[in-house]
Amino acid sequence: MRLLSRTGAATACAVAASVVLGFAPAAQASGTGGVDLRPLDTNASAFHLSLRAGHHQTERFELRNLTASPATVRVYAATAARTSDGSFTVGGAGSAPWAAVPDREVTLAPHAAQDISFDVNRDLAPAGEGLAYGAVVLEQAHGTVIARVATLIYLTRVGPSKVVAPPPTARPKPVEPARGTTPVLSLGHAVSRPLAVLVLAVALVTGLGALLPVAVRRRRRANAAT
Amino acid sequence: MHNRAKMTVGLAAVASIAVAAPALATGPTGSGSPSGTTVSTTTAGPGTRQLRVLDMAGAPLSALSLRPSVPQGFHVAVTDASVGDFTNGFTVSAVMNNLYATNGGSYDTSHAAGTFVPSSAVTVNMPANGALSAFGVGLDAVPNVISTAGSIPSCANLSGVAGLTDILTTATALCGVGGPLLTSLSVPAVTAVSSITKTLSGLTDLTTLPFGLSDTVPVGGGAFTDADYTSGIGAADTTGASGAPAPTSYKLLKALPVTDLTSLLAALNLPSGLPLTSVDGTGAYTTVAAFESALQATGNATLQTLVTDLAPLTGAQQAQVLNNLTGTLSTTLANLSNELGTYNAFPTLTVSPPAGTPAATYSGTMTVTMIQP
Repeated sequence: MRLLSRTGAATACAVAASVVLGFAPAAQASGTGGVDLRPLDTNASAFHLSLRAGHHQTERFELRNLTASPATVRVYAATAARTSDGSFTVGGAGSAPWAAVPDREVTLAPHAAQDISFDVNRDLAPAGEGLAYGAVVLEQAHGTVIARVATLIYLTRVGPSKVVAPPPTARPKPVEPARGTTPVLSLGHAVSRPLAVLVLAVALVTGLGALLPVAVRRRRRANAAT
Repeated sequence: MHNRAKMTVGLAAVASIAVAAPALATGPTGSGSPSGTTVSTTTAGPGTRQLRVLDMAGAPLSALSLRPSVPQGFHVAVTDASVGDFTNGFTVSAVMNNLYATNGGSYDTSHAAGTFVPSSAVTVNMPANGALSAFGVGLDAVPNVISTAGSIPSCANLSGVAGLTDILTTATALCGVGGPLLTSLSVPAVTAVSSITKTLSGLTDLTTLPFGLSDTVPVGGGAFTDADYTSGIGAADTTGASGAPAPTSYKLLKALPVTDLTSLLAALNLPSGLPLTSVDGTGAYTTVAAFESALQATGNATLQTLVTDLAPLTGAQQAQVLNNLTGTLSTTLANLSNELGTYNAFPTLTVSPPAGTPAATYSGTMTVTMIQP
């Protein structure tokens, strides 16, 4: 009974722990112009993923209009770089093709939300191992002032990058004759088959024509000898 | 002539139009559901941080009318709501285009001499006083309670204490042969969640904030030596962009989690000298249940047995037993939550056109980026 009681307590403790883990907090959002960007499927405020060569992964985020008015923002991916003081700089649109966030404007109705997914491709990322940085950028322009908020992508490049083969520069490999075919058919790759037959026929006729006078002379000599 | 040129530079940005349009080439516009997109009606999750770039009247900043050598101020604001992550702060940095000659709403981005004012002629500065501030910062703190290593007397001794006189007959497993309190039990330090919640609001004193504010703008101002060609008007300057170095960037507002919570703790005014536990936490550092959970979580078999064997006692009796230990409160950034408030920077921009700059109107785009690592 006492043992049962302890087991029960331990079980209750385990259940409690699993419940706590089950309610992990959602990721913190950040944004501008009243629109938030929140990474999904994580409780981190950034995108964290690890990829080997030849692999890619889909990430998701939510855009949410926090205001009571329609809001338009531009969304794209960009490179990010860590500076000597540990902070980051973020590049312009189109600078990180390995994070396939379509460069586009999104208009959200008041308080509306929209989920967007994008693909992160290791083979398109900068070559090398270890961390590579990018960002999903949410941008809103007012006249000559652009406000941007960058949610970082931490890509851990596991193992060496894929070695990309150089583009083919040699001449195309000749077509091998199919097994069981003859050289004549092989010739047919270069010369049409009727033409080849005609050429052979002419050669044969010409050869026979050249031999005919010789044969006639031999026949006459033989007749004369008899 | 030169003065006139400077004056027109000063008027440049006023008439500028939105400049993001040229780069918006690829995607559909609208609130529909393009591929890879779903419309959601779920409620927002906790924690949001919003960047705003404002004029000095608090309206969204769309242009700064620069006059030569006259600083023009603007306001960078980062507003938090329900933020619970204090492990990462944020940075807000700025880069600047060259200022390009403007004619009828179009810009001369040919990069030909005399058609632009280099970004290096524009400097950002921070006022000597009040450059950084915080409005209405608040947070919740639920500190940990750390029980001091000590000992719990044996049942024989406890039975002599008022309220525990029946312990020997009620908690037989606790007091019996092999029970954890057959003799005095040494208990190591244990950390538990306290039942004390403190809320701070309206913080403006920078020393009491969970984030330390700073900037990287040099004293006396910093010039945008290398122009930004990646966005805005300057993105059309392909000649300038060719082989250009990374743009000069200044952090206008940097918020790093503080390492020293002394001032924040003082503001929290946490209690001291309380008993370790009570049944519902009233008048104590924590509840009996929370402390017993912490004992279970230690993985120490004897302490786990202690918790199980205390069960026949009433809650008040359990508190009496456990209060032979004492505790203190401990607060780290991990104990803070639900942070809100606005962090501000008030930088200025100044343009000093090079000598011989032709009289014209010049416009460029300033890009302000917030990064949350």
